[in-house]
Amino acid sequence: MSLAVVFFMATVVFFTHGYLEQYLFDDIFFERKYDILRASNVLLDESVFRDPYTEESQKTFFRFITILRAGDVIRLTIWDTEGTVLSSDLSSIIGKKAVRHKELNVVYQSRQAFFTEKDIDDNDPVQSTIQPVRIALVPIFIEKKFVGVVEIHMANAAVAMLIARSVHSLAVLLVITGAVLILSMAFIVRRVIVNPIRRIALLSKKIQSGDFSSDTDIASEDEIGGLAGDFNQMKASLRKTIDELERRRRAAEQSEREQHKLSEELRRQNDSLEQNKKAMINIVEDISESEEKLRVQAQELQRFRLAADKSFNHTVITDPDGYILYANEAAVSLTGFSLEEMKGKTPSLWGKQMPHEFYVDMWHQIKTEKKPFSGEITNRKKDGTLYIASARIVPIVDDGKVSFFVATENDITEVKKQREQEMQYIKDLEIVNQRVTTEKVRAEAILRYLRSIGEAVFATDKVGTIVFSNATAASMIGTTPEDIIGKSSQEVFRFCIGDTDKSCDFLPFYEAIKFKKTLPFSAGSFLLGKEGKKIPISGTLSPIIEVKHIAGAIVVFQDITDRYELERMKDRFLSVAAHQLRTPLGSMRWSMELLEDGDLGKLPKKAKEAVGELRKNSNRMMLLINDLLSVSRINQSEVKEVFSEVNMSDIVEEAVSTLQAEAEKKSITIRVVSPKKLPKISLIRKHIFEAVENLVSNAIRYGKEKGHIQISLAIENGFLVLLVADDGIGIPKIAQGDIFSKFFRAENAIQYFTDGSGLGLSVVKFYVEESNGEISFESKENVGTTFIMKFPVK
Amino acid sequence: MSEEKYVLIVEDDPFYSNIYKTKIEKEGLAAVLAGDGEKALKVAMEKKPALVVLDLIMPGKDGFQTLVEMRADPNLKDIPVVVLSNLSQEEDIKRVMDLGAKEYIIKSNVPISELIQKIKGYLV
Repeated sequence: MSLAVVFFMATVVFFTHGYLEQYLFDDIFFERKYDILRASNVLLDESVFRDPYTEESQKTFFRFITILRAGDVIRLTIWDTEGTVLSSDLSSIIGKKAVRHKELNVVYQSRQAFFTEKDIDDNDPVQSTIQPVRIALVPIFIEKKFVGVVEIHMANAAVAMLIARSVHSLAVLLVITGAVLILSMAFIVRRVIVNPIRRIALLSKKIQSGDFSSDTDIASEDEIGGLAGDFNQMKASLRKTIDELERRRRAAEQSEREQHKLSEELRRQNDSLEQNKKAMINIVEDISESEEKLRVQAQELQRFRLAADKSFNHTVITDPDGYILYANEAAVSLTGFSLEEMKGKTPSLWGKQMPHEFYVDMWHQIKTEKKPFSGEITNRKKDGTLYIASARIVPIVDDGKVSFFVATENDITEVKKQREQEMQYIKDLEIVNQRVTTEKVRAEAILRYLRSIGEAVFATDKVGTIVFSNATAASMIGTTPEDIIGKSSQEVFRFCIGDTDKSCDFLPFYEAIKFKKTLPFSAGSFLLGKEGKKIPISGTLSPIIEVKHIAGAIVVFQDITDRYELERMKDRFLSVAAHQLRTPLGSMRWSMELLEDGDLGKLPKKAKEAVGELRKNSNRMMLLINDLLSVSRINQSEVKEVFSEVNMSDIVEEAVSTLQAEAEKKSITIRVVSPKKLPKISLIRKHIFEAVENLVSNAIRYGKEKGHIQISLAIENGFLVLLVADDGIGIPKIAQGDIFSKFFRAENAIQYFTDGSGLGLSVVKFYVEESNGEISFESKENVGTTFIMKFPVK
Repeated sequence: MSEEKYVLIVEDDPFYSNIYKTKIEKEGLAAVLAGDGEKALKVAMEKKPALVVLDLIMPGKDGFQTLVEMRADPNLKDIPVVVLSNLSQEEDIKRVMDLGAKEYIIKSNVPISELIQKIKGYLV
């Protein structure tokens, strides 16, 4: 039982170092108190206090001090009741008076033992050493009369060492326990100072014979029973102690005579067995009391251990070399290693993930410098998972040496991961922010540019709300950008196509979004400026495409009033020129017609021939004028015609009927071949009619007398194909590359028909291409020519 | 004043107007000449013509204005008008046709015989 308690205590002591330290300390002092009480009863009488400074009295005090002296005591002082040193192991202070000795005054007043811990004060004249000590002040009573105070100083380190020893091993604890017993027994020896063997034997016999009072029930306590059984062993220990005491006495007194006297004195004391018996009972009581205290301690310490076990933090305790002595449940669950697997190993079992230098530094800090370490360490669980721990390792230092390490860990992998993720988010945000800033700078640069360019610019969102306008655009309608941003563009910028007021509802933003491409304003576009003034403009409208969707539109335009006016002037000039040229020509032609027809009287044959020639030339001149006007108009792109759905056979029929008379003059037959049903195609009717008419007219003009013209229509590969084939003079190979050039006429054509302007085919080509068609030809000189027009069918 | 149909010829150039008149009357039709728009409107109001042959470029009230005023007058607005001019701009043609002219004929492009045939066509 006693062994079990001791073993348990050893374990408990291990984990509750500080707690036990205090406890043991108090306990040791309590022992002292009883020692003092007993020793004073045995050794001192009132006479020594009455006359303390005689040689006899001083010797008695010295003996008393010697008995109380133990290795852990650094100072022993006996005070009288007035604060004067009666005796001390420091002989220089004997007879001196205490100054400001508060603790002593406490004892004088309370007449109770007093324990404390303090640094010895320099101001105290009777103290000369500065060090933290534990102090016990015990009043001395003789025959219930308060005669003085014993002051004992014990070194802190001494107590700590005692405990450290007990911590390290069961054996040490056993020694402490044994030492407690020995101290107790030594006490008896000190009191009796007679042959210890005989006394203990006598005591044993007394106990066995039941001579002790019945309230000391030794048999009922396992530990006490054990102790009783160990009496024989103790005898040997006591013998050793007595020997030691005698050696010390000899060394101290260096006198055989005094030794002998002391023996005599002790023998005299031995006689009072009654007193001894009483003392023994006290001892037994003391021991019993101590055991009870230990059990309470053990219970409390068990609670501490449970607390440590259940602690949330991974806690591991190792010896100074890092070998694991203890690990709590949290450590087991965090690392995945069982307590059995850990014990006797070092924490490298789950460590070793950091660089070697890290561990070297860490060990240097905790073991050599004896400073606590805290930091983040990557460790590895039994299953191989790495985790990051916030670790703290505290070296427990006793007497300048590390006795063990307490390490706590916290798995902060998740926390760390989260922190890293947060850092990543921050970094991402920064990148985005950077990008936004860059974009902003770029956008601002673009806006600056747009603000300062001469063209009018405004931009809208996809429903037409103005999001940007430069000053040029705003000033054209007599306002400022600030006034129109946020307004609906169709209300602010009214665009008209053509010169009539009806058509001022053109929505450029809508057109740009609808067609998803940049479009030019059509010729003849106007902006309705301030006071309804129509400002001719040109420009473009573009969708603003963001990645995949259309965000809005940007409209760029410029005031072309000057250009427009110039063109109007040119137009008027052309118009007037044409009119003025035509008027006299028309008169001439009609006059000739009147002459030829004999309306003005019959002409002689020669005169009629001359008039015919005049008429022919005036016709040629008229053709030239008309062609020139057409070409000049085309070049200005002024002719804006509308596409419409047209049946091509209607155009062919109309053209043929217009030219039928002409063909008949040369007895040329025209044949039209067309499928019954043709799809309508989209083209500019008026121009295509002119083109077809021109081709047929050429076929007649350059056809031979009694020749043939075949016009055929067909659908081929999604195209409507129109062929105009003649069997006329054909186009010489050398001229084939140039026939669509302006003013070009092939040699044979000039010879055959002098009237041509060389403009017809260039106009035809323009008209066909304008209607998204193509034109080509095949020809062989003197065999005939076939013109081919192709238009896409929807 | 007989009730027979006649053509009102509005033309400032006497050369042209004489040719028209000669040719039209040769066809057995009646023709009245007016040298400008003002006179033309006056004549038309007095004696409703079956057809107006209208020149555009004239001193005083030109053909465009004459046409506009005819269209504005309930008594005249239904009289067919054939415009005969040497103007050939698309805009002019469009303007005249929009005002309700039956046809636009460019004088110099048409032989006089063809013109007479066209006029005859409107009177049938």
